Amino acid sequence: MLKYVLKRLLVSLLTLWVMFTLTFFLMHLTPGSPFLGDNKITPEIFANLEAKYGLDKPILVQYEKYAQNILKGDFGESIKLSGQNVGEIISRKFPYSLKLGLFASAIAIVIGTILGTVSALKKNTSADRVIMLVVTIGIAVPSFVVATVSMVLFGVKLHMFPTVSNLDTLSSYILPGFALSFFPLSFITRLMRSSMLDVINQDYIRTARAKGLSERVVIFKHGLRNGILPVVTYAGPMVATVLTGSFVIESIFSIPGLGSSFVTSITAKDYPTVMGVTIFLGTLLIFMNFLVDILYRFVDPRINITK
Amino acid sequence: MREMDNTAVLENKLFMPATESEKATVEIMRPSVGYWKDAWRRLRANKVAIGALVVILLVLLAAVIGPMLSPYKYDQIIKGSENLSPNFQHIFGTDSLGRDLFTRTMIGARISIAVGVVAAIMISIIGILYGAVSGFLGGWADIVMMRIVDIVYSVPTVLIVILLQVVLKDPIDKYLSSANSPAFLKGLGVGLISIFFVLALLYWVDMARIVRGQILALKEQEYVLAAKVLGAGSRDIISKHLIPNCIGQIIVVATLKIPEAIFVESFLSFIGLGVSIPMASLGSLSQAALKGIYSYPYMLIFPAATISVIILSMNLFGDGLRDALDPRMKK
Amino acid sequence: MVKELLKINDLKVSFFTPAGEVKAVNGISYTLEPGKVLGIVGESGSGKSVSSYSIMGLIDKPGKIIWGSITFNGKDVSAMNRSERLNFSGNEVAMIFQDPMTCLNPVFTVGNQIAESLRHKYGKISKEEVRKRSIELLTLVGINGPEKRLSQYPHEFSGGMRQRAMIAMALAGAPKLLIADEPTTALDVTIQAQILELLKDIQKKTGMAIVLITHDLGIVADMADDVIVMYGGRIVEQGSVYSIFHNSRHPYTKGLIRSLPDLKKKGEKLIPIKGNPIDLLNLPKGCAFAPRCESCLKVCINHMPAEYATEDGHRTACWLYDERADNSGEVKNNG
Repeated sequence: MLKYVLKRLLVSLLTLWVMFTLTFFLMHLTPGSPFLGDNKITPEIFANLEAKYGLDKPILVQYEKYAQNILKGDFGESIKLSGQNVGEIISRKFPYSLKLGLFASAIAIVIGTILGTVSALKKNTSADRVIMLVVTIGIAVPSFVVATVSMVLFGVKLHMFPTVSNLDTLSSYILPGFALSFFPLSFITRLMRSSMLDVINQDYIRTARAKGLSERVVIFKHGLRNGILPVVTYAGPMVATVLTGSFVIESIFSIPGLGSSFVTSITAKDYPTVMGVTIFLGTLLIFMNFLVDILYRFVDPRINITK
Repeated sequence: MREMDNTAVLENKLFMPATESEKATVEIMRPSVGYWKDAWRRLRANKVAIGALVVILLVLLAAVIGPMLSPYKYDQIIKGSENLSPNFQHIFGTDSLGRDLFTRTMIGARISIAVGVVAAIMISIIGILYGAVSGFLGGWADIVMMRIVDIVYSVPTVLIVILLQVVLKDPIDKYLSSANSPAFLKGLGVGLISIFFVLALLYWVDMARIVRGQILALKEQEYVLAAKVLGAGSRDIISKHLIPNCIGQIIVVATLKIPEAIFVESFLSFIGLGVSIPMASLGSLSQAALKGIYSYPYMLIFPAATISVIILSMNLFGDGLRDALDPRMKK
Repeated sequence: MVKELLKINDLKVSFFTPAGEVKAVNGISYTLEPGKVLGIVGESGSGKSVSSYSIMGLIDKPGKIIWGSITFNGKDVSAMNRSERLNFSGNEVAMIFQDPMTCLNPVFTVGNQIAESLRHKYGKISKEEVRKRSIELLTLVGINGPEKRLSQYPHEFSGGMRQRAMIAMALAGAPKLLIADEPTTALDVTIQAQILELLKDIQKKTGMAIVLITHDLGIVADMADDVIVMYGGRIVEQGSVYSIFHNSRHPYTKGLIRSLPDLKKKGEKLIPIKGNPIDLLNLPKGCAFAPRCESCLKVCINHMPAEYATEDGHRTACWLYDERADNSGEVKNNG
């Protein structure tokens, strides 16, 4: 087990390094500079700015310096929001994204698992058909469509929920949370349904029935425990989905989170911010994948020994 | 004790040995059908998949020839017709510059579908080659190649996509404005080229894994061994045995890559990284509509609905295709 | 007369698939006395497994018992209420299956799964009691180091060990009847012999009855007191193990015996039964074996054979034993 954790940790660190290096060189090999878009800048000011942000030094020197800074937790200064440290921006904005992301993930996992189980146990009934219809749509409709449509419908037309939010009240979570969780929820429902359908046809379920266990024990002990395994595997990719979704959802609902400021910094070519946020989010994702992988070893004993 | 009550009425002559032809009348053999025929039969029986296919074909038709039949051009600005609600002249209405939204939506669908199909083809070619080589070589080459896949797989795709988009825009722009760049690339524009680039760069790993897995599994199977024993070369084995056996799965994965690519394109266009103005994709149309969302919701609804319908029907068709082609579903 | 433990009367089970009604079991009747071993032989699709699944109430959705009755210890199984039913499975009748690899739940320890059966039988008993009995059971089925084995997961067991664990689980409820559905088919030959030996041994120790379902006549010869041969969802022949092997009457049974390797007679050719297994969707009007039968009569094609019994209780469903059919040379007993 320890060997596996170490091995997996090594792969994660390697991935992290690849991502960091890729990000750095991509950003820096680009001809053009974040300041060139601004016509008012004279060559002298430009040179000063380049020097200030270290953009005039050889690239390997910059790489080394940036790596050192990152390890110290210093992501550099934002170019567009001058004077602001990227690290500060992240620590100020990330809590919003985290809260919304946790809310959406919790909804997706809990409701998705329940709906998927119900759907599988009531296969081919009208309940199953309705659930499958909704989640099939949920997988096809991009999150920005879900967000805008639900905002117009429930926010603007019906005035049921706030459309712009600082996430300070529970009701302000509803619309962005729903928009963010709709895809993963639908995905988990489908995953859970097919997994449960597969599981209840397994031989060990027949064994459990033959042992005279009640249907409740057969389904909820023997069935669910196996059926939920694919959902655990999906938890890693789900973090990525929720994170990506937050880019558009936060912009649409004007939530001052990390996602919306990432999108703003992309359009503004604020390189230090884009790099800092990419590395931060990338680290988060890789770390989450690592955690989920380790967690999976615990829920599925079959893998424990073999690797 | 179970006795037939009417045995006595049977005639004596019945108790003579039966001829082979008499025996043959009993045995109703079910006709054995080929893989493709069987798959097609199953696909045809799947009403949802066929319905989805019809929708795809209709959207495709509208996307390909619709703009030619339309009285307006997609970038034609009609002065005095700004922000019109849907009416008889403009059935989807017009946008804030007075462009016909129906034509723009059809063009957007064309772009989105083209992105999806071209990306799926590129992804498939790269993935199949990579996976086939890795699986067939085996040994160290396989291990190294699969580690690379692992890393590409765990790199946060969308972040890199965004990053690449941001970074690639300028060099491609420069290249396009130089004199010797091919005309068709100019027509695509920076946004689309970099979308293809990033999709090709990062989205092939699923395909590679599946093809490799299939090849590894097939390599172990007896008929491949038999072919080897009979002296068939590697190329023969790949083309005559391995590829035909994974083709079903390859088609399914490729089909499902189309909506995935459309998804990515619309997402990037929506956050402002996709096609360049005045080109329209369904994502950029939705994004443009966001500014006037409170006053002109119809501007959002049509492109948003179109993109959802395209992805939905592609997903449903892909699922149907999987059910039809997946040999594990076969009895 | 000994009271019968299990009595099945004219049982019919069908599966209602999109392609049509699959008549898996087509009216079978038999009885089993306490402490006896009954072998049910047949190829896949003959209905041998489905018939025993119906005893346990394991027939699932598209499948349905459409006719007949199952009586266990004088009690009609279909008339049992829910709690009687749950007590019946596991505690009165237990079952082991073909593939021990897939029959144990992979995410629970073997001890956990045995404990489940023990608690099902004895209600709330203490942890120590459960552990003590589990160890006893594992020892009984010949698993070494039972203390350690209890906390292991099924994937840490070999195939033969898993089947032993399955048997331990089945024995936990101290059943009067054990249904063994192809218990050795998925195992290596050497392990097969061990498991059969174990079953015989346990049968002697506990005195429970066994229904042994198999496609392998050799296994039946070794273990069973009585044999039922099934084909196309019907019983084609039944009798004591001696009379089935020495006086087989049905052409299908004869074919089965001829296709059995006999280690004592080296160099003898095995004769397979010609033709394809039947299609349960399109069962012929007459005898299901007719198309493959070497002695097929005209009557066999459109008329279901009646049953013909000898004095020793050996019964055969075949027209060849009708008095009107005593003519041709083919019919005469050549085995």
